[in-house]
Amino acid sequence: MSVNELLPLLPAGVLVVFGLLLLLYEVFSNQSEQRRYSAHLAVLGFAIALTVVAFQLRDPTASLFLGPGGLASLVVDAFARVAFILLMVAGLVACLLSPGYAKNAGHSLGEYYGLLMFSVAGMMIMVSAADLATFFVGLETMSVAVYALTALRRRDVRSTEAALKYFLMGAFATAFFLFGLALVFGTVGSLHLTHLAEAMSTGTTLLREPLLHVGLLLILVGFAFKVAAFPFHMWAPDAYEGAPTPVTGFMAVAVKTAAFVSLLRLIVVGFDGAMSSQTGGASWTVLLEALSISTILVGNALALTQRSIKRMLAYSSVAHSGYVFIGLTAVAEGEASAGAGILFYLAAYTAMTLGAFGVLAYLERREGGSEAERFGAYAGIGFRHPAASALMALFVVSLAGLPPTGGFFGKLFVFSAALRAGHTGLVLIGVLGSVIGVYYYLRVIVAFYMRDVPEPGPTPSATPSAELGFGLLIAAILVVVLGVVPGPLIELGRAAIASLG
Amino acid sequence: MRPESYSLLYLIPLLPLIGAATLTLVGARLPKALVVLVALGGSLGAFAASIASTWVFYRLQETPLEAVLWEWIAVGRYTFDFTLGFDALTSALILVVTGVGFLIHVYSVGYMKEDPGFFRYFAYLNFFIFAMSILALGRSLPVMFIGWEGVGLASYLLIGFWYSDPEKALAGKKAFIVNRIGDFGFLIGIFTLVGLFGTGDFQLLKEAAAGLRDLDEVLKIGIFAGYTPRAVITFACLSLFVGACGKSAQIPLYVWLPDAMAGPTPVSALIHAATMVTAGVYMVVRLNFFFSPSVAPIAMHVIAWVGGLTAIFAASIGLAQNDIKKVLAYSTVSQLGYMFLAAGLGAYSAAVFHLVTHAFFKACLFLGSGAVIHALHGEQDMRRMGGLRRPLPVVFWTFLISTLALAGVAPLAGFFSKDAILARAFDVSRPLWMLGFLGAGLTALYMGRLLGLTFFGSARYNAAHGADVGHGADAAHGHGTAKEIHLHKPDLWMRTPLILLGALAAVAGLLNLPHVFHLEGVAGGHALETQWFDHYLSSVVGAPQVLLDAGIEWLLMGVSVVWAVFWLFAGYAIYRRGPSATLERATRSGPARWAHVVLREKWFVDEVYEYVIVIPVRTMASFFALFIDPFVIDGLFVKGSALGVRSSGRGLSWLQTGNIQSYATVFVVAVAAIILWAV
Amino acid sequence: MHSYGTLLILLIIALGIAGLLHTLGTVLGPKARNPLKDQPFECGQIAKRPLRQRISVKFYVVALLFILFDMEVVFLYPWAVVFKDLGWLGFWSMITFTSVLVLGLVYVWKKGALDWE
Repeated sequence: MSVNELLPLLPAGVLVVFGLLLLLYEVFSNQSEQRRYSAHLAVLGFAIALTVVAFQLRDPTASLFLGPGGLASLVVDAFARVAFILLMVAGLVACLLSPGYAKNAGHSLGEYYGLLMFSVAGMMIMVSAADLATFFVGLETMSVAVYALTALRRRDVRSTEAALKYFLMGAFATAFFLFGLALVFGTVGSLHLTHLAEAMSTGTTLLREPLLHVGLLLILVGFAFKVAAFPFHMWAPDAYEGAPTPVTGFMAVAVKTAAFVSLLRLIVVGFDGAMSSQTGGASWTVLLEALSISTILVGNALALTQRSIKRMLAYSSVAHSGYVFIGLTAVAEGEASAGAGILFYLAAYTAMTLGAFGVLAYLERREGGSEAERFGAYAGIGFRHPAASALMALFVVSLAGLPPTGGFFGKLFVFSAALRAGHTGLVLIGVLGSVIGVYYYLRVIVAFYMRDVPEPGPTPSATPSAELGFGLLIAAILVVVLGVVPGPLIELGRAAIASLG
Repeated sequence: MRPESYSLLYLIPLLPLIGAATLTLVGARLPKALVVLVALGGSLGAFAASIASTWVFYRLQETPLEAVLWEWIAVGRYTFDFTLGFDALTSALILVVTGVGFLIHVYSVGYMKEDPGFFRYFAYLNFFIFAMSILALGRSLPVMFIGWEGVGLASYLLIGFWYSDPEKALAGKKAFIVNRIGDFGFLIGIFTLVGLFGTGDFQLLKEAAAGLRDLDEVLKIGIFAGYTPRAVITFACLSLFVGACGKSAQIPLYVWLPDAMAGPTPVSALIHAATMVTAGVYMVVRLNFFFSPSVAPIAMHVIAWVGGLTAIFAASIGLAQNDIKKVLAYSTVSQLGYMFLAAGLGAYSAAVFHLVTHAFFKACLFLGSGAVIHALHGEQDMRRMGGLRRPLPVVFWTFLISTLALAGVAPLAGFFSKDAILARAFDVSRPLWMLGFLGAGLTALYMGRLLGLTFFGSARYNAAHGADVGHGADAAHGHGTAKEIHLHKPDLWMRTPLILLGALAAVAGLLNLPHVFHLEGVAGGHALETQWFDHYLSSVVGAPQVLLDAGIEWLLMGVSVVWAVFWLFAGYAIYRRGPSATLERATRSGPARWAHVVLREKWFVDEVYEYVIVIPVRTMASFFALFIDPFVIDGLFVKGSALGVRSSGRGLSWLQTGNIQSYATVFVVAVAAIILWAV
Repeated sequence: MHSYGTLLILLIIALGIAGLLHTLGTVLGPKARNPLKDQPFECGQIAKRPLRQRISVKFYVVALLFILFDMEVVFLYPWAVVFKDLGWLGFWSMITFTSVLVLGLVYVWKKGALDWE
């Protein structure tokens, strides 16, 4: 093994180096004035790492850290690289959305951006891990960093409460996940996905080895927690509401993307068709179905009753997890095109959700209001902040899944793949959920544009931050481009799924 | 022939799109000179790119060009690429669109210079050029449809350009709605063809059409199982033709075009005469492998008859109109009828040739009428014109040339193109030929009347100006009630396009001389090159045919010229002294009066539509709006279901206590439930 | 149910007996509550401070840091055992690892986490 072989991991390396640099920059510059370049440093790091991935995109699959039997712990294939891009774009946009906000709230900027980069590096380990133990290392790297990010405003009660809840529940879920790993290791004798696939290939393994079955279920529970699927979603609204808004956006998209993408790898590589077999594995798809149906229904129903936009977005992100589960169900039954659809969905979801939270962050600053603002407090915003409101309208239209936005094609690809796999009922539920979604998403537009303004509101105080505008612009362009020219990305997604073999 | 890849095709739509985007975003802040620069740059750039593409096409021995821009939609088995294509037919249309388009941009600089919406106008105009070039270049039905809708949008925006006048806004809406009806048919046609052949690409469709072995063998598989390919294709052709009727203003969907004259006059010249309205003809010719007498004979009969009837019907209405633009609008409808007549008879290149010459002379006529209206501060009623020959010489001469071309007087452009159509009609179907021939007479008559009323006789505009102007004047100019009005002479911006278009109207006929002109030793010992345009288009529509005997052809030509000159002169003679008192008396009673009223009121078609379609639909709409929607839909479905979802949401939210112990409890219970259920 | 069924039965019986005894004790046992009896018992003395004592957060920080660096140092042992086999790559890997650790120390130091006051 030589240093050259580590090159596929260079993007993650760049992020870690920049994260360390940010930490040092933080402690060695005493005046906070000097620290305002933290954001630029972080953006630079992401940009360099993204460039590296872009150059490596067509490289052959790289297997790193070979263990016994020549099996790699990390596999950087086209699939992992596409996920890298998704995650780093999310990180980049989140960095752009943060500066003005973080400055106002008086955070330790270096730690903020440093943690963000560390968590993305952890996610990159997750999505390229071919071994559940390695995966767990990535998972914890990501989780710990995100817990700390949630807790960043130490003086804010809501923020600390959110962080504590998130951390405790996260630890709880991790325990289940680890227990699951232990059971799997006990029955299979290895945590490598290839060995798992071999063990499952007979089709009757699950019947003969109930402990393996239980272990896998517990692992699934760990994933369900990370993506906030019902009934493991309960931490999400509290954590999302309490965390600093840009962090909320980042949590909602990047954590979820990392978890879903690695679950996709687990299902395609590790379970390798075992799910579709009639013997024991069939219950898996039923479970995935149950998760998606209940998540869609509960997420949407709860989002409908919320009075705060931020909480509504939090619940709606629960519902979006449900839509992705529809795709996973199809993948589990061998419909590979659903995998590409999921990748596309996650890309569109990243752009539109980050954008929506970004606009919220902007409005909170400009209007000086508290975070959990009611819908009513946004009356007339559309006329005071026309550009931001127009973007918000774009993002919620995309979230609602209306053309010509990325959200529409995301749903289209996932649902059509599920139809091909024969899940008509599931798709009906998905469409029903989307219809409910249209109602509460459009309420945002109604609140922004169609309510009488109580009085001429306060004049905007803070100056708009160029970085924030730039971040929102990137998100908006992504949403529109994915909605008008979905072809290239879905092609990339197909190539990525194909690289899983 | 396999197409050559030539990626620079995208420049043709891109340049005007950049112009439109720039003007929309920052146009309001730019100085007028810069707006002009951007707008003219966009359209001239498109023209230059079109010429360059044509040159490349020519250098490659007329191999079609193509540019695959990106994979656009991939759904299931179907993939649609965003592909632009360029062949002989495209080059003919795109040169007209961008060339005439550029001239009209130039003209508009002079015409619109006092309008406050100057930049907005040019943004729309550039957008139109963009959309029209997508329509012309699109190599598949879906791409063409984007252009098709885009020009519809541009047309709507420009008809209602002065939207503060409700009548004009209404005209825009009418155009849009009528076009939607057509678009519906167009879409059905696209779906049918895509459903039958699995592709919308013209190249592939053409190959598929050639590959169909037996048109009358019943299909066994696919969504059209149980029908013969001929039946399906005929259905698709008729549906597409409904779309063409909407866009190209044919019976029964022509009613929007006369109202579209509410837009600024250069727009009428560009969109509603020269280019957009010919899109239907273009589409029919583009799909000539389906629209062909041997494949879909029924559809072709329908097209030819609709075209022929429209030609004579619209011409008859044109006789009794007093608004100068309305006369030209009905004339456009009628000439489009000729094009469909030709296409329906399978004379595709004659249809396209008439499309080209018509673009030249009708654009010139509209721009001329615009100059007249401009000169008279917005007056559009011909009864209050007259004698403009002397004060507006440039306008008069170009108008005269174009009128002669439209009436079909040799050797101007319109003569050759109309003759080609009538010759084909004479050969294939005498009744259709009669329609065309009578229509030609009517055309000459109303143009003679228009010429007489506008340019000859005494000046009548001084006396009555401003008192009771009936029709909406072009708003920017509608001011002043002075008795003696000062004529607005057209400036250089306006005169140049007039002269160029007039010249084109005069000589464009040389592009396609009839075969009988193939005489030895006329032009310096060589034979005249005849049917050049037919040969040029042959790679798309097949080789030209020579059907008529030379003697009969000469005879027909002679008769048409005499016929046209006679009626032209008749119109001129009756009306050159203004609205004729004798005629007034003659139409005051008896059947003549009825005829006059019927023509003046446009055969009451608008009224019939109002009672047969609009009012019943509106009644039904009110029923739904007042009863079904508020009570059944809103009350039962929307509010009821919302209530259900909302209360279930409330019911669930008791779980969300905020208490972490309870969260953990739910977690554990759920895990236990899952494990117990699964094992 | 499977081979684990017996285990489950054992678990149920064990929990059942423990629960039963506890419940029986609570239900059947005689109870005489008075305030004096409810007081915490501390060798006959009356309690002077609350039982659950608050400890300065500084201890936690130091303890955390200690465990953190302690754990990292553990990695050095296996490395030292196979040092020769790993060669230069192993050497540089460990250098990288320790420098990250040193950077962490620098950060902690500069951040003031090691200052007691």
